[in-house]
Amino acid sequence: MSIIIKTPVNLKEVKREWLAHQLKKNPHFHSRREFLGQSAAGVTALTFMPTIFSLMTKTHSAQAAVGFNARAVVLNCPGGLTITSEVVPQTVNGAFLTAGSYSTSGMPGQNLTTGVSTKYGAPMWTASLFFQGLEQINAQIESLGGKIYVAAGFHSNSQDDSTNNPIGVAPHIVSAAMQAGAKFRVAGTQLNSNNANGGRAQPSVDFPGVRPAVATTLAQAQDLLSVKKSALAAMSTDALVAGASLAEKLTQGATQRFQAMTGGRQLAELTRAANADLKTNVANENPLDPRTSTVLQSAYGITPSTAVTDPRVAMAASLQFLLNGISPVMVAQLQANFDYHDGTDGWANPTTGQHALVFNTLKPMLLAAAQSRVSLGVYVQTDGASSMARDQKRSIGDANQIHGALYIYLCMNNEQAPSRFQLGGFRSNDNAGGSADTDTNVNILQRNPANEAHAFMASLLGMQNYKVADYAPPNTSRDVFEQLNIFNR
Amino acid sequence: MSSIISILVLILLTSTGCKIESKFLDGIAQREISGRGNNNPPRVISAVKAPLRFRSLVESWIRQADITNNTDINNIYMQFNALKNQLPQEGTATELTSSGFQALFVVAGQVCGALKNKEAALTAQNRQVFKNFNFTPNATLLTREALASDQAIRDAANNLLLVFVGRSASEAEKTEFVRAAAQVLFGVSITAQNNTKAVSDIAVVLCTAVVSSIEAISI
Repeated sequence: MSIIIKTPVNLKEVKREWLAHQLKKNPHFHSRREFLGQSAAGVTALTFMPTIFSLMTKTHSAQAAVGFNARAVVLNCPGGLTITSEVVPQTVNGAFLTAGSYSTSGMPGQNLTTGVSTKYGAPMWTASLFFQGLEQINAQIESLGGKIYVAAGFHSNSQDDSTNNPIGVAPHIVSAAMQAGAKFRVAGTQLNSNNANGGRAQPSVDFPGVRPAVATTLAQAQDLLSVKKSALAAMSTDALVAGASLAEKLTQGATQRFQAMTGGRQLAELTRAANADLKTNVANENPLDPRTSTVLQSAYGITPSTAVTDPRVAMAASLQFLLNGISPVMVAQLQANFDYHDGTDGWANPTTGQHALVFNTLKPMLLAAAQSRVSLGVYVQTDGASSMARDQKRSIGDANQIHGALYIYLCMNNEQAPSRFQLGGFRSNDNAGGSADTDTNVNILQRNPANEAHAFMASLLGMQNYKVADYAPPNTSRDVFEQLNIFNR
Repeated sequence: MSSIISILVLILLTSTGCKIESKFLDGIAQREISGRGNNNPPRVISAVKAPLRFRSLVESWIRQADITNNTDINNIYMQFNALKNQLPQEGTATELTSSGFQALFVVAGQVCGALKNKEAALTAQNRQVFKNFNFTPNATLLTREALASDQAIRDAANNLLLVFVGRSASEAEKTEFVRAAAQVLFGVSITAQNNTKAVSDIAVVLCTAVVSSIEAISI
């Protein structure tokens, strides 16, 4: 008979007992390999599951080693940006709707047969500000060797925008990034939360537990990067490098010993990489200033004499950190009031008004990333309604909201998406753009609320020709994760 | 003969790799315990590594360094709070990234600043770590050696590792500490105005390196 207890245990003690027992049974049994192998056999390994973000947050040298250079941007549009105004909803078979009302999304009537382009992947209404904006910059992007892809899809991961909506995907992504070491995320504009006139999405920067440092000014952003704090504040760079170097030496000395442990190899490697990164950061701790970057000057229209209080500078600083690999993800939160409001608000019209703000926020990011030869995945998050029928917020199950997910991928370095887009656009299971809850075979986003965030991650991996399945999160099967990769050829 | 060799090998292994392994792997485990007399050996059926609980780590640093000054302790926690979002949240090894490590380094620096303050206020014989550092140099002590000799640094290296890691420093490691101390003051012209800061900087940097090294952060 044996009993199982849950208690702190000293494995050394246990192994010693076990070794004594084994030795008693068989005094000849040990080789070193045999010993190490058997001693680890009963211990559950700490699984090291590299995520997209852990890849992105590795040191520059590690990044170079794996060739990964994609970055992520979450463009948060609380209150339900009417993405369906940009990307034309279709039937489950990819045909245009023959019923319902495109007009409630600001597009003309039914049976769209003209004015739709699949140039960027998902079918887009060519008169929309978004498409027009892409057209303005596409030639420049292509001249730099880049290519833009647009994908979209319904997802079910939302609640009514008349109440706080805590189930956003942006927090999920940001959380993953932060946990994997993103130094910070950046809010471009703090949103106007709980605005009855513009949705009541809970802003991602306010989510408990997902609240890393937020920099809204250049000074704040620079401070986040500095090691010169606390007792180290007045240290010279040489002194700090000396400390980081010594720590690295001590860690290197212990690495061999740690590598023999279950999970110790990962810890040792991560510590070594982080230590080397720290040394590099300290040695080069000259405050970044986007105003001196010609790329960012061009993208944001700033100059070295632009005031640091200019909101463009904070956004440019955020982007600079992103492009330099200091932060793997950037969250830009736009003001609220993107709600569709049944087509009654003029700014919801895709050809005028606020929709321009979305693209104008995105434009400098795409241009600067292209000039920096950095691939970029942009996830436009909304909450609340983006339905196509006035006041009939199309249902998924019995929920009263559908909202869309819009992705823009800037692929540099010869990354190319296939013509076959699983997430090519909004697919509906009826001719009126109605409920999309039964066409999960087509729209894989709806199979699982988590799929949306995973699609973003899987696609970023796919952009780099990674074997996406190998990076499946623990709660997602390899096959599903692989399917979520837009760049699956 | 082969039995004797096996025993010697086992002694060697348990005194090296196994010892280190157990330090890292000690944690909460489900342990199946067999009754006495049973031929089945004790077997760990599952185990979770002791997580890197960083708040606990800060507490342990304070305790290990025997810092009692409330102002210093408050400052350490203020720094910790300011950076806690950068620090690993779950305390697992895989969360240790460059960003988290940077925050760790800064908090470690705050702890080491407090340790330096404490030590500097004590007489040499009452110090725990920087026994022969001259924290209150007069105006004529203008070399690194006069402020903290090689031997004083080697001793401090040993003491730091004893305090924060629980082992002695090897000779090679002590040499690295001396090199690091020299690098701390690289390009610095020591004067009567900055010699106090210079010796303090050496102490804080050496300490911070130890406190942020892998052995000190894995508990």
